[in-house]
Amino acid sequence: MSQVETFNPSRLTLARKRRGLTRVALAEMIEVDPRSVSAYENGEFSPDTEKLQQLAKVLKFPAAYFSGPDIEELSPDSASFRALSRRTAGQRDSALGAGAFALLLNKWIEERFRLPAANIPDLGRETSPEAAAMALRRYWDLGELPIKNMIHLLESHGVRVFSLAIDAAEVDAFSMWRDNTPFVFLNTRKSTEHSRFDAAHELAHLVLHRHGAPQGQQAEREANAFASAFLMPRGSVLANARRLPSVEDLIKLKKYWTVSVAALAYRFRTLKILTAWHYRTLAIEISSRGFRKREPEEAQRETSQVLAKVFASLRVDGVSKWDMADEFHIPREEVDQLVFGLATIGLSGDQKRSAQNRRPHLRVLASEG
Amino acid sequence: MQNVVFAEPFNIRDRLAELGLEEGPLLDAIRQGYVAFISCTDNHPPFSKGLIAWAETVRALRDYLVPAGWRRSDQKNYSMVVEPAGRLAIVVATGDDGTGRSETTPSTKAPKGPSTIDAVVINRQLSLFVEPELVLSGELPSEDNDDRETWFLLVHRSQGQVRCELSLPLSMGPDGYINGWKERIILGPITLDGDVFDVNPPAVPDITIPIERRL
Repeated sequence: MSQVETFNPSRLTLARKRRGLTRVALAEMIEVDPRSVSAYENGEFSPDTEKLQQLAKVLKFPAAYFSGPDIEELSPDSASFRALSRRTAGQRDSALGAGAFALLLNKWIEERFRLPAANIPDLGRETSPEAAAMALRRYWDLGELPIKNMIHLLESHGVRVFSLAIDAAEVDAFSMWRDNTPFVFLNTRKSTEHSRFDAAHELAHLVLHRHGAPQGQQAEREANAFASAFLMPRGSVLANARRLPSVEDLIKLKKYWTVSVAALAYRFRTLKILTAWHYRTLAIEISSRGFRKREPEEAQRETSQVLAKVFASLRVDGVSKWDMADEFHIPREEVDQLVFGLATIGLSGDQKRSAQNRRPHLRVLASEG
Repeated sequence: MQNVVFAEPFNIRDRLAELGLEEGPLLDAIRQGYVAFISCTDNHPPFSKGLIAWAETVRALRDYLVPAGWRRSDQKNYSMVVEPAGRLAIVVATGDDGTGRSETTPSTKAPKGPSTIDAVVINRQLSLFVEPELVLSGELPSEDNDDRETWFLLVHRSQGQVRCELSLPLSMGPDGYINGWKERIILGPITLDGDVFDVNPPAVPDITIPIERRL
């Protein structure tokens, strides 16, 4: 059988990583020697037509995908990954693969639309994450007001927000800079409150760690402290704090800032509203009532304004986001996943329930015939 | 009844110091009991909230004092903490509305139901806290220790505050209520925010993100 002349090795590597597979695992799936997969990816030789069909089948990518131009790949050190220790290499590679397709989707969108430019200051030299959070609030004129919608706030300051539709508790979110454009990927399967904290955490990496600086656990601690202070600024917390609050009190209070009950308790402790034992008591109850896994009285989900507007505008022209997938020969599912929970998926043939469908949504886009 | 009340900050501090105590940690122990109380849910048996609060207060009090050389005693299920020389003991009890008010004479909390003395007498101290329908015939438990003073850390939860005092009972009526105190050291009160409150986030404008179609 003849080899595929136009085969692009880098596209195979990307597809394999996107599926979180090792070369050995992929070789087993298509019943070849691991050496062959290495050779395909190194460009030593290309798979024959039959093997290409098998690759397409097991990786769930269209066969045409493997022949396109190079797709810009993301290296692990280009993105801020949280809790690296809890994440397997496969999960990381898969998330980075999604990131590569997000760059494609973003490029495709930006060819058609002018989106807000990045307005993210470098606050890496602030004295503390708390100070940086306040500095950013001043820079963006937010005062002490609660953040109504984290995704809209990020988007309005030029951050491209995409979904990480990965069903793995280990994967919260990640962010990166690409050609002066900041990207944030959120796991939209988490609770609204959790996702907002993730968004603020990734914002911290964008403003604090753009130029390297701290890595690993220290960077994570800084980002958490920033997120906590950014979502719950000290002044507004002190003004609304309750003395000796119970968990029930916190469940009511958290709605002021739209944060998780656990995050609010922690913030109260940081600001010394709670004593150590009181915080411990609350933390134990929050855990024992399962509130770390299932947020009580969850807030309305946040969605992307940019994606909603872009897709609405394209729809008027009879263009769907799947046209982008088809243009690059990537699975339509990849595009769906990048916008999962962020934009109404109202395109014909798409029966997937987005996370958004869990609540009535009044901004339904024009119905599909 | 002889009744010396310490209600001024300096007097309180000095008298507590003579007993080897400080106000701050005593109030912390009471706060800890209060947090246990408000951490109870409707799924807890109703009577247990006070018991849980009491137990947590006793524990917090011991957590504070045992490292300082005091020892705990649970003889006859009468839970107290005894100072190193053994001349002074503290028990924790819920007080009535007079607790923490220098102008009144407090007692342990009033009974709520008909007499259940038989059951209550089995555990005198628990009854003082939960169902204080207790007949002590004028005598307080002394653990075969005639020269030991048994002080009561009285705690009363009311709207907006927890009032408390550390007091030395002197006499009891036949109904089982303490009706006279030799000394009272008024603590706190611990100020609370009300049970009912509203959360009203300020109006925050929506963000409109301009998206411009390229031609």
